[in-house]
Amino acid sequence: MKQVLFIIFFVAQFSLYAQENITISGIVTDANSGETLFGVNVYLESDPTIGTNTNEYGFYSISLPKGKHTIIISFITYNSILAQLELSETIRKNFEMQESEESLDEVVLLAKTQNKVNESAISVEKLSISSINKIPILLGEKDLIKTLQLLPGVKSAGDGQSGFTVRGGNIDQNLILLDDAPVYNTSHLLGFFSTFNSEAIKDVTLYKGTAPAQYGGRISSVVDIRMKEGNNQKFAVSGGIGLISSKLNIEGPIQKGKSSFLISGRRTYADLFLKLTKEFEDNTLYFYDLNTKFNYKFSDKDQIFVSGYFGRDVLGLDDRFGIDWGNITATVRYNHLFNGKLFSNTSLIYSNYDYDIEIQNNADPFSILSQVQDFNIKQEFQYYPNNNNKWKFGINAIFHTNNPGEIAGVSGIEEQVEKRNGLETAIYASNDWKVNDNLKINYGLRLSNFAVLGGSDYYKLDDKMEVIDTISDSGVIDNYINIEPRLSLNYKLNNISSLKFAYTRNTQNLHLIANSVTTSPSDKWVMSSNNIKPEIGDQISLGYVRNFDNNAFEFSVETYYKWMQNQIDYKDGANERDPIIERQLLYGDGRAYGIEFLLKKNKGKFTGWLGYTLSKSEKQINGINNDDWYAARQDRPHDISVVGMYEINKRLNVSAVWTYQTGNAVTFPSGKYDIGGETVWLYTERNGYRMPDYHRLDLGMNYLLKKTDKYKSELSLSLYNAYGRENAFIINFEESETDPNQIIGVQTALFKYVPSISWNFKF
Amino acid sequence: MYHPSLGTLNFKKMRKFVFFLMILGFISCESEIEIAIKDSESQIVIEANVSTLIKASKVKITKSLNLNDPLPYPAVSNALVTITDYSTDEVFILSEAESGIYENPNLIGFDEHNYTLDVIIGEETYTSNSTIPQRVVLESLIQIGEASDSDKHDGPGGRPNNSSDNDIAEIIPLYNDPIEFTNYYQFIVTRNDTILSDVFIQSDYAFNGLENSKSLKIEANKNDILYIDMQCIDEAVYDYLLGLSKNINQSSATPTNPVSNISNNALGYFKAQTSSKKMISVK
Repeated sequence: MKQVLFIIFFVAQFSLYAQENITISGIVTDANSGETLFGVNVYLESDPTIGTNTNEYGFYSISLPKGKHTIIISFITYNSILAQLELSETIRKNFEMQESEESLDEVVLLAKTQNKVNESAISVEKLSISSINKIPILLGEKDLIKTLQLLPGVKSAGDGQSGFTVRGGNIDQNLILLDDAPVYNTSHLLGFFSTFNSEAIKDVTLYKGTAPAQYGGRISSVVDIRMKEGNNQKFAVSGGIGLISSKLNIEGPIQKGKSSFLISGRRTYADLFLKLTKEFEDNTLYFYDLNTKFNYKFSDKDQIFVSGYFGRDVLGLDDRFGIDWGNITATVRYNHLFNGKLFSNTSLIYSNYDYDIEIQNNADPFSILSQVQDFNIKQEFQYYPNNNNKWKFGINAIFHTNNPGEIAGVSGIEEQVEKRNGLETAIYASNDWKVNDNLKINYGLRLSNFAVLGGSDYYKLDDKMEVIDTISDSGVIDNYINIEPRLSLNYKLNNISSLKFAYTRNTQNLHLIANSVTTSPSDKWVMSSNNIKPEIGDQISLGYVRNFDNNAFEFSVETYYKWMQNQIDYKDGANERDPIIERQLLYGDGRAYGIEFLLKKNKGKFTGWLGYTLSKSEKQINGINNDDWYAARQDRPHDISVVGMYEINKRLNVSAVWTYQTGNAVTFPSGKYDIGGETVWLYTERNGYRMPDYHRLDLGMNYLLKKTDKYKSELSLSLYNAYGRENAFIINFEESETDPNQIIGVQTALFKYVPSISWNFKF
Repeated sequence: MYHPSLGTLNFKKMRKFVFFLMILGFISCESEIEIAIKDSESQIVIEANVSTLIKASKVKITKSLNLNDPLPYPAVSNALVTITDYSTDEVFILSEAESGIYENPNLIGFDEHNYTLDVIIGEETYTSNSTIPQRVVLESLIQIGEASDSDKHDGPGGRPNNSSDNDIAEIIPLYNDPIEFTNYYQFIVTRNDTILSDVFIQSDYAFNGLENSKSLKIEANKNDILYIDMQCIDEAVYDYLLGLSKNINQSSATPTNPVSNISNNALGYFKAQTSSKKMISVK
């Protein structure tokens, strides 16, 4: 019955527009740099409800009856364009927008195409690069991931730890895409910096579990990050020199207006400071990021984009121990405009994540290697039949190669967790449907399949997790098919408020098995197999948005419930070095729910926001905690973010960020006993205790030194953890030195009072 | 991660290194904090072994305490303790020699025999099974280099902090691992008449059938006399000891109790073992 209704809707939308319509379509770009603009409003002056937004390549398409029309093109921080057109046939019309020179009180902090009331998507945040510039970030770095963590529902994994969690999900449940390529490890130096160099980034969209059907593969969120193309009008060089790291950005046209390139690099040199200390002079510590981009416009209808990202962290403890890890991503994307209504994108994507640990002691040098590689082909069509529908159809195939862990000594490979291959395919269709002036619906379906590929050993386990059989066939060992419906609604109550709803289902076939109390780059990625089933996440969310005072203030409240299946954890007393790692794993369910409040001030000299999240995240896995529900490590009931920015004058702006979170759930001992003269800790429940509450204040200041037509320079100062709160990173228990009867907790805290200065320039 | 010759390598070392690198007004610090710990029910702790050496087997029964209860751990007297040699059906009754320690001077174990431990305390019964593997002889001990404090960060028995004043001696126990079995070993180290409480274990994974080259890092100074007793143990005991060393070091995975091979929620373990001793003077 549902299928019949579906077809009726589909047909009905086309039959409404049987009269003579022509299509106007084109690309919207920045006049100075030629960068395409994502999310620009293009609409009729006489009826603002007739219109659309540009897609991720700057492409828009509107259907209008023949005749005279005035079209408005508007986008945050740009001057609006009023175009008066006489249309008699389908045409291509591109637009170039000028950045606004308007006074700063028009600057909106979190850039949105339209205000949130009109957006169809719930639980979505978009960031444009101009807003990230003004937030005080650790060590003067404009950090994308840290900015996202200041939004409700998104929490960092903790100081000194990499990754973040969205709505109570695990850190591996976020699909982070850089120009369509998945990035597996998003931070350098154990969470200090993220791997995204903001000089090279154009746009970020975060979906908190409500991503439409063209996205799939992780169950908690999607972070879609798009690199800049590179200025195709003139050369530009910019960069910054800082206390701990420096960066350089070079971009320019190869053929003006037709092709351009961008190279952006960043490197830290903290180890140079180490050489000054006696104790650590033989140690190395650095990371680098290199973003490269190239694009070429063959014609008005064809364009190709090539992007590459190379990033690596290198840590070395004198000569005896070294660890390095990093990502490489590469994408080639080809856009073709068939006609004004049909846009096509074909992508070839490669992604690699690996870490390499080298231990050189005199007795037994060895190395540990772990790696994930993806080869991905994607084909997507975007079809604009009329102004009320925007269809996306596509197929996607990813070939995964996974080497979870390989230990090699002088005599060759000693221990090997089985290398595996898998093929993840999906086919999807979704539509952005404007039902009427008040109601917008995005509905879609994604059909995904994961094929467990042979060519390596798979194991059949019995109830006691013993191997009873080894499967060594080639071909497909196992198949998991999943149907993932996606639905989101936006109902406009009036011009200043709207109600939203979403239901989505997502599945996931790559899983991060953590092997320590805190995250580390050596956590293992494993794939679904005959024993490990795909994770399934279902989320329902409901929200309300209201604007005050002519969009000066925006208030939103959202509540969600998430149900997760096939969640994985190590069993109690697990042997993490087991090459048949599946023998150490247990499976169960997870659930997370919460309510998020956000109040934003968008206009005036003082801008900022206040966010509060109240939430819960739990797991239930047979074999752990007596089969009872227990708090997930990332369960943090209260989460508060206060962000404020003040423009003192045209040269100087200051900012402050205060965050507060309940501590992580943690397992502490409840008793002690003696074995062989050693104190042994007695644990009675999993995650039954809390780390101390986390809070800190960051201050920042940006001073414009000089600005001419050709050159601009700024000085950036920031202070992380300004009041020096000792936030616990890890807590251990010890016998007190003064009284062996007493057990004391000893906490280690990182990062108090971290200052940074950087000088930034732009030609 | 785990590597046979290095014990459990944890990232605490690496993190401590990262802490110190961030200078300029920045300190990472350790401090004592108050934590409200819930009380827990006291549980029975059984440490039992049956050895192939005469008068080297015993069963020690104590109870667990809340974190801040004063020591000593209470001994459990008046328990009924028996060890049965399942292969010969011979039953040995152990009587309390000292408070909480049960022995039988006639009890001696044999290679490849299976033993059952039964402990009755009040109305509760605790049982366990363990098999003595085929004996492997410890041929000799050799020391690599000299005792020094250079490895102080990576303490003995895999401990993350060597906060004591002693040096570390690296000793390789030379033995020929039999290829036909999966072998597990525990090394009890006595330093100048004191038995060290650190857990030293090895297995033959990836080294099956070879002469051993994996070393032990022992807290010892120059001229100390070390007696090392190499004991062959079964897999369940090895897994217990692995979990025990992780628990003591609070260093990896989700903190849990080591998986005991004794029933009815008893803490501790029952070890049936061989014995082979050698001595070395530390240089």
